[in-house]
Amino acid sequence: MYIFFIVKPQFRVKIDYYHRGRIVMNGATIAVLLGITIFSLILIMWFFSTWNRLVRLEKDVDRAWANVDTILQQRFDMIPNLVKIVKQYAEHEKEIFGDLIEARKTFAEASKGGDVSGVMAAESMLSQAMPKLLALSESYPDLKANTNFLKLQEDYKEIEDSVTDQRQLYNSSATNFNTAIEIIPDSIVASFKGCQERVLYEAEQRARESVSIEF
Amino acid sequence: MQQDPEVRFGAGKSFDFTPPSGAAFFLWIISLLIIGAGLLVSFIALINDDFTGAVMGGVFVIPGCLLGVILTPTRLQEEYNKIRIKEKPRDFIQRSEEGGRTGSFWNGSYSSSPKKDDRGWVFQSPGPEYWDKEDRYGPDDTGIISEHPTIIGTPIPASFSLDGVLICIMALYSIPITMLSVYAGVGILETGSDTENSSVMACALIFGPAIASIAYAFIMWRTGTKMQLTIDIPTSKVRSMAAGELELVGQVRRSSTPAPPVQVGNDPGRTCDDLHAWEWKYEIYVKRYTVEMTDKGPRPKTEYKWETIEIKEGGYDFILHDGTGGTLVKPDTFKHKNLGDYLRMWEIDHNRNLGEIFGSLITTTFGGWTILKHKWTLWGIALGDPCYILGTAKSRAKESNDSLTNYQQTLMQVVGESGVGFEARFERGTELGVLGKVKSQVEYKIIPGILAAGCIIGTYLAYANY
Repeated sequence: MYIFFIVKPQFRVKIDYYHRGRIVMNGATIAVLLGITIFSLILIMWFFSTWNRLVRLEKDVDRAWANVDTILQQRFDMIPNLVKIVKQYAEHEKEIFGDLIEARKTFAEASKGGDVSGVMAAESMLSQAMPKLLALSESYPDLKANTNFLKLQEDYKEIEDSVTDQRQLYNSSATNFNTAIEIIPDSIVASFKGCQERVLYEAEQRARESVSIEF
Repeated sequence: MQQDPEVRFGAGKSFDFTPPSGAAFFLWIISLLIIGAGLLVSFIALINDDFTGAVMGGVFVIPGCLLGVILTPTRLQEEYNKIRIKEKPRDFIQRSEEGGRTGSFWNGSYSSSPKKDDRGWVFQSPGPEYWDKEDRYGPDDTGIISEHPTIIGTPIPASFSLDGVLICIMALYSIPITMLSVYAGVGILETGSDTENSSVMACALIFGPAIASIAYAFIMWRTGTKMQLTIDIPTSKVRSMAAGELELVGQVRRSSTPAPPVQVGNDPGRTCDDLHAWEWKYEIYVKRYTVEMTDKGPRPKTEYKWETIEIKEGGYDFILHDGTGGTLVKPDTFKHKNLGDYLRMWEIDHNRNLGEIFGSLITTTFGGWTILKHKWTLWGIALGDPCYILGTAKSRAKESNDSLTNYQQTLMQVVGESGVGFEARFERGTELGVLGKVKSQVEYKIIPGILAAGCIIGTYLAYANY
């Protein structure tokens, strides 16, 4: 396609498409076209910048979830050691041990598939069973004096703080992402991109209470 | 000791209409009156099919809108000021008591510091008496700082503000006013005046509106992108920070050794301690007397300007502490820094000081210009100041960890490494200070672009129709 653009003193522009004919435009028409072009450019720039923003927000959510997953994994990995120590003193508390092992199993399955709801269910199970396990130390003075048990209790509390922080960070990232894909005009780009709302990681009341356990 | 603040920031209003307070309020009212008068002139002219009159209305509207944009504060800034007055953070009290201009007229030397600081603490921060001198990286007994976004939330600006309305009005007038400006510029060129000034003036009138509006649109786009990044990235707590890109907010505290003193202009008389990131600028105020030859004969002209002679910047590693723990920050690795308002400024009259001391040796000129004044300005972030960081947490070299305790965050350090769609930044102030001047979300990308488009079209049409 050959286009030539000549500006004459009286300002007329000629456009030749394959010598099929001449289109003559005046300044006002060109100005309108120029306006449309600039506006289109702004729209294209906005579209791409919004697309890139959504990509970044999505990556942030994924990264925040990966951090939650890592810290939860650390916490669930403490269960076998805790159970092993407690079993030495209170072997007959099989129900609590069973609940903890079940919670760990549920977490492992949910974590593999990135299933937030599954992880939340595992967390709920853990938050119900863990206080019972830790309360056993009140009934068994020897267990309360066990240094390994005390160390694990201390580590558990530290990890609990990190879990809370990482959960908060994940929820902030997910909320930002969910807001971005819902508000107009960004939602238009989000629908092109096929963005899906992310599930928030809401701790159950029992889980929240477990944070405040006094050791 | 800080308390848990009752204030919570969150979603912004749909429209931000915040008039300024104090003397600026009267100027602001005047700007609105000018805009109103201009719009009325245009409206009446349009009813009478007088297009020239309609355009002339814009001559009032544009300056009025510009004045309005400059004077209109943000809702957030006003809210911060109210909270500062109520909470009385220590740096707020210190600035209001010690800020101001001091010096001697007879010596011709002055020193000044601002009385208020938009980047300072909004809520009370833990003072040095609460810092653990032994366990520098450990948590504070007072808990997390009050101004942490996980406590008070991230302030989200309004969707639209008065600025947006004013810029929209300017956009409406952009085409005819730009055309008028181009015609005026071409008119100057056609009068045949060949002086340097008239050529510059003509060029400014012809290309100025288009270039200025494009530059404005570009700056607003960049600012909008930065603002969006700050809102989008949630703030991590130091105790649970993970490796990689992150946002941190906290207080500047000393690491193992104190920062070396900064000598502004290499003069021991202008020494500042405990600055962990700083920049100073040395400028001279110069004068030139020339005689310009014009068609009407010689025309004497005196010009004044500030000339920058030297700029220096530096930084020293510090601990960023948010109450939950501290982590090492390397300010030198950050390319983009914003240290806020200046800390101190020194001014010396040339003739009464340096000129007298060194006589004719110094009273010489600077490239044909006579030196009148010297000025040194210092910006910096000091111990105890609030700090906002968008950076990358990386593992820390093992040898430097030897003396540290076993906190997770001591295994990392924060550096100014940017990533895709992530520009590392180091700013004075918390997230509140960083977002304080942001007026609204919409007017950063679309509206300045429309204004720029209007100015480009106006320039083109004027050229076309001339």
